[in-house]
Amino acid sequence: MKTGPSFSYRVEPLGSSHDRTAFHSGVPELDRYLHQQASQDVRRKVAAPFVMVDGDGGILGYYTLSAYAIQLAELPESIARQLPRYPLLPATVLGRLAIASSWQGRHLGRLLLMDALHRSRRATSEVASVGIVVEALGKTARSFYLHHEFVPLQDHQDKLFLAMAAIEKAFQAS
Amino acid sequence: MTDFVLHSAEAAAERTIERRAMLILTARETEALASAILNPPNLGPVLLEAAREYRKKLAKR
Repeated sequence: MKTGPSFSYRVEPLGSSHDRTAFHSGVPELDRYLHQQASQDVRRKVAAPFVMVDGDGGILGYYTLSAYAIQLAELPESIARQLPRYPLLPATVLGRLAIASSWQGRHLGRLLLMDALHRSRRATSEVASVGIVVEALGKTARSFYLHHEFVPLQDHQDKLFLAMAAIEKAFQAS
Repeated sequence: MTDFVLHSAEAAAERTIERRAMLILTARETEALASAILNPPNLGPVLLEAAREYRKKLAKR
């Protein structure tokens, strides 16, 4: 790993002690969210932002999680029979994920993604979720999620899905 | 349309989606999702390796 042995970081919920304005990922929308909206989302409980910080508390990256409901279409009887009869399935949204521009290219995005998966999986002991839906803004983001085995939703251009069952398998086997 | 108008429209659409916090699937998406949930395919090497790496680096702190 290019980051070296002395490098240390942790992932924690966004709090008032974090210097949000110093964060720059190179994607204005993702920066603006952290600078202007994230704290409000925490207060309103709309989304839970988590930040990856270095030893000094500087923000290296962040992601947000929130709950989601997936409404299914009418299914052929043969498939419908196998599914629980819920009109809505509970899911988790990984709404945003960003790495500071000075830290890009060191596989921190992958670590942050795995932290999000791990956290979501742990949360299913309290609140059920069939999987994670991500919103991939742009080609780079899309190929990042495809590479990590997310499946595109055919009729929602920017959205991809990863089943919680797959996440469980990954963490059980590792 | 100006960028401002486009941006406002996008932002409004985003807020609406967030407020509803719901994803409405089409028939073929429902089938794909059902099969991913009911019969998750075998994992590829990338996710497994990433989970292993994550455990080493972060989870044990």
